[in-house]
Amino acid sequence: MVMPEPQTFNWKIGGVGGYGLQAASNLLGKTFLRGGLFVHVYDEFPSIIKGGAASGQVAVSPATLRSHRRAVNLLVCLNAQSVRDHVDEVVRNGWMIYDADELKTPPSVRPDVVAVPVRLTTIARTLGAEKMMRNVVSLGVTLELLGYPAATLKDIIREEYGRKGQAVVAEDLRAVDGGVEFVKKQVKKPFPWSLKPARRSSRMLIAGNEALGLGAIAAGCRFYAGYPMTPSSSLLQFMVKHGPSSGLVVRQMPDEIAVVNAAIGVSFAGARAMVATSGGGFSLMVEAIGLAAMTETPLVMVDAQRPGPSTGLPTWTEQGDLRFVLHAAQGDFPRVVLAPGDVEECFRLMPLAFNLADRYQTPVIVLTDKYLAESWFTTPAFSTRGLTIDRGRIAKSGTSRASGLFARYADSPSGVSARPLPGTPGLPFMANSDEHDQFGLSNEDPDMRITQHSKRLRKLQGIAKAVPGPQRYGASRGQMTILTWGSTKGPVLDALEILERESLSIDMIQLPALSPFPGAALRSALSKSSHVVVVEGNASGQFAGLVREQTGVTVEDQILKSDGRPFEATELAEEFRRRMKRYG
Amino acid sequence: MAKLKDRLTEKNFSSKAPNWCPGCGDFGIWTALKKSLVRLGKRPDELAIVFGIGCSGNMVNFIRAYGFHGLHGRPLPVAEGIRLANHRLPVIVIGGDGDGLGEGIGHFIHTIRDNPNITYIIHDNQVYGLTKGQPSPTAPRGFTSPTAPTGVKEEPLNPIALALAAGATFVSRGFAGDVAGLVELMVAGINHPGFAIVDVLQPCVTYNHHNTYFWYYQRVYDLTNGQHDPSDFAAAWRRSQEPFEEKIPLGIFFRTERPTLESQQPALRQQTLVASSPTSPPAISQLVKHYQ
Ligand SMILES: Cc1ncc(C[n+]2csc(CCOP(=O)(O)OP(=O)(O)O)c2C)c(N)n1
Ligand code: SF4
Repeated sequence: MVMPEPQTFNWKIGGVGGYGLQAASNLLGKTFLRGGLFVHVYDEFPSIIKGGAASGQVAVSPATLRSHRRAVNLLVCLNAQSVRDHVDEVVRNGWMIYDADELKTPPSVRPDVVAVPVRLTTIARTLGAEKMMRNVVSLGVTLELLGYPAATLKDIIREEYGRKGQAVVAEDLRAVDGGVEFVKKQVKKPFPWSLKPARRSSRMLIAGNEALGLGAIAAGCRFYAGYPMTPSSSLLQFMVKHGPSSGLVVRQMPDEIAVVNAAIGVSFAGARAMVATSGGGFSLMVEAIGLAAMTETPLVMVDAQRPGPSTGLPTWTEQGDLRFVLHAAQGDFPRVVLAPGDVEECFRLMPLAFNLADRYQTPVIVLTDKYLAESWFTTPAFSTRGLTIDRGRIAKSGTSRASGLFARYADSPSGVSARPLPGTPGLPFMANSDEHDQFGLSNEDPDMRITQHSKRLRKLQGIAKAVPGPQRYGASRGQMTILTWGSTKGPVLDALEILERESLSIDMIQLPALSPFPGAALRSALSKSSHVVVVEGNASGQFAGLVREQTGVTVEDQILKSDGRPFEATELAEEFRRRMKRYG
Repeated sequence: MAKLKDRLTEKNFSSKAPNWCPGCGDFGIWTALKKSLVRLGKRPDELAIVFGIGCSGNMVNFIRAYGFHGLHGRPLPVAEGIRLANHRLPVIVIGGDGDGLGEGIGHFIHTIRDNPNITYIIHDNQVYGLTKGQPSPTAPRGFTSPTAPTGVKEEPLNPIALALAAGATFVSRGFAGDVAGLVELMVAGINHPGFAIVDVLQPCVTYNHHNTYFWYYQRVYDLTNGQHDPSDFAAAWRRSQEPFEEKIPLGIFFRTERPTLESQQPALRQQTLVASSPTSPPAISQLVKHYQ
C-alpha cells in the first residue's frame, strides 16, 4: 500500500495487450485535459501484440503534474491477473472495479480496498456493443464515480473515432452511457474523490515523439525516414500521418543503414532531413554519423532509448545509451548531443538541432527515451513564435574557375565553409568520406589532414555558445542539489514539489545539452551546493561519469535505476527526504 | 549557356589524372562515362555522382561533378536521397562489385524495388581491388587469393539474373575493353526513366589473372547483333543463364518502365524538396489542435 498524495488522482486500467488499454487511458486523459486539468498518461505493455500483462494509467491534478504516479486511487481490472499485479498499488480506502463477467468469484483484496464488481462485458453486450468496448464502459463508470461530466468524453470520442464511421461512434457512446447508468443505479457507497472540470485551457496532452515531430515540421524538415523500432515507431507514424500534408517526403525504408544514408543524400542535395530510431537501429547508423561529420553534411538523428544491451526490453525505458551516443562512430569530430527533459524541450530543441546541423554542417543527435517518447504530458500549446530557420552558409554563385572545383572545404576561423547545393551553376565539388583537401579530393598529406581535421573540430567552439547551458529549477538554500538529464527531469521536479509542501527545499540542475558539455558553467553551479545527488536511469552512472570527466566533480551519491521502469516522483521524494535528514 | 554547353568536352569532366594501375579496366569506364555525359550535353554542375568505396570509387578524384564519396556499400541510398531532395538532378552511381553486391547487396535489391531514376554503374572485377585482391561475390569458384588460398568455395553471384529476378527496369552489361559499346549503354541507362543497371566487366590487371582482357575478348558477344529483344523477359532470363565461363552477352538484357520512386511522392508534384524548403517556420496551429 502506498500513501495517497493530496490533489493528485491516479487511475489505472489493467488487462492484457489488445484490450484497448492505451486507447482508454488516452481518451480519459484527454477528457481531463479538456477540463483544464493537468494530466499524465503512462502505459506499460510487453513486447507482444496480443496477450501479456499490460496497463494504462492516467494521473490528473488541478496543479502542475509532470509525471506518472505509482499510488492508484481507482483501479480497473479487466482480468484476474491485473488484480494480482496492481492491487498493492491501490491507496488506503482506494477503489477497484473489476469485470465480474471475467472474475466469477470476488478477488481477495485488502480489507480497506473497496472492490466493486461491474459486469463490464454484459453491459457492453446488452447495449449492442462489442466485448472490446468494456474499456469504454469502464470510462463511463470512472467519470460518474468522480462526478465528472461524461459529455466531454463523448465529444472526444466523436472527434477521434468519427473517421471510423457513425456505427462505431454510436457504439462507443452507448458504452459510456452504460457505465454511467451502472453507477447511478447500482453504486450507493460514496466515492472518496471527485474531480471538477475547470475552464478549458489551450494546453496540449502530447507525447515526446509527437512533440519532436511537431518541432521538426516547425523547423522546415523536408524528409523523414525510419525503420520501425520501439520506441521510435510512433514518430514514424506521426510523420506518415502529418508529414506529407506539411510538404515532407516520409519513407519507411528497408533498414536503418538505408534510412540514415538516404537522409544524408537528401541533406547533401540541400533539404533538411532527419531520422529516428532506438539503440539497435542507432547501432546500424553509427558509421554514417562519421560520414555526415566528415563530408560536413547536416543531419538530425533521434535515439529514443530503451533498455539494452541488444534487443533488451523493447517496450520499456532506460537512459543507458548516453555513453554510446556520445562516442558513436570512429575518430574525432564535433559531437553534438541534445537531451530534451520534457515535451516542451522536445519541441524547442528540434529547430535548434536543425539550425545547428545546418549552421555547423554536422550531425546533431537528440536523445530521448521510451518514457518521454511514448508517454503523454500536459504542456502549454506549442507555437513557432521566436523560432527561426537558419540554413547556414550556402554558396550561391561561382567563385571557382570554370574548369576546376569549388573550394567547398576552405579553412575558416569558425570551421564552417560555404556549401553549394548540387545543381548550383559553376560550383561542383566532391563530398568525400576519405580525408580530403579544400575541394573534397582525397588527400593524405599530414598538413592537409591537420588543417581539415582542426577545421571540423573547431566548430565545437561555436556550437558550445549556441546550446543551452545547465538549467536550475527550484529554490535552494544550498543544502542539496539534484543533478539529472533527460526524461528524469519530470519525476524529479514533481518530487521536489511534493517536498516543497513539507518545506524541504531542494533544487535541481538539468542539462538539455550533453555535448558540447557545459563544464565550466556546471562546475560553478555545483559549487553552491553542499550535497549533490545524480539521478539517472542506468546501472553504471554514465552521466555521473561524464560530469566527473567534464568538471572534475565526483558525485558519489547516485540514484540509479535500470529495471526498465521510469523514476516515480513519490519514490524519489522518499529518497530525497532520507538524504535531507542526513545532509539538509 | 547554350554556347558554353556546345564547347564542353571530356576535359570539362576531368579533375586530377587517375592513379589506377596502368591497364586497369576503370580507365575504360571513366572514359566512357565522360564521353556519355558529353554526348548527352550534360554539364558537370548539372549532375550528381555518388561513389562507393573501392578502386572504382576513387574515381571521385578524377571526375568533375557534384560528387559524394560515401561509405563502403552504401552509395545507393545516398543516391536515392539526392533524387528525393532534387528530382531535377540526374544521379549516377559508381561502385565496385564488393561494394554493391557484397557489403551493400540489400540496397541493390531494394533500390530495384524502389526504381528511382538513377544510373548504377558496377565495376565488376571479381575482386576487392582496393583491399588487395580478395575475392568479391562475383569471383568464380576456385578463384584463389590470399584470403582464399584453396580457391573460392561459393557459387558466384550473377548480377544480371539477380537484377532480373528482383524486377529491375533496365538491366545491361558492358565491358571496360569496349568503350564505344559502354557509351551506348550508359547513354541509354541515363536516359532510362528508372533504375538503370550497367554491370561492367572490368579487368583488374593487378589481382585478377583469370578474367583478363584477352579472356573476355574470347567470350563476349553483342546482344544487339544476336537479335535479342530487350522487352522479352524470358529471353533476357535465358541470356542471363548462359555459362559465364563460355559465352558472355553484352548489351541491354531487359528494359521496361514502371513508376519511379520520385514520381510517386505527393510532396514532389509541384517542386523539389530543395525548392520547397521553408525559410521561416511553417504554421503548426492546425497540428497543435490535435493535441488540445
Ligand atoms: C565498412 C567497411 N568495410 C571494409 C572496408 C574496406 N574496403 C575498402 S574498399 C573494399 C572493397 C572494394 O572492393 P570493390 O567494392 O569490389 O571495389 P574495387 O576496389 O574492386 O573497385 C573494402 C572491403 C571499408 N572501407 N568499409
Ligand atoms: S587493383 Fe585492380 S581494380 Fe584496383 S586499380 Fe589496380 S587494376 Fe584497377
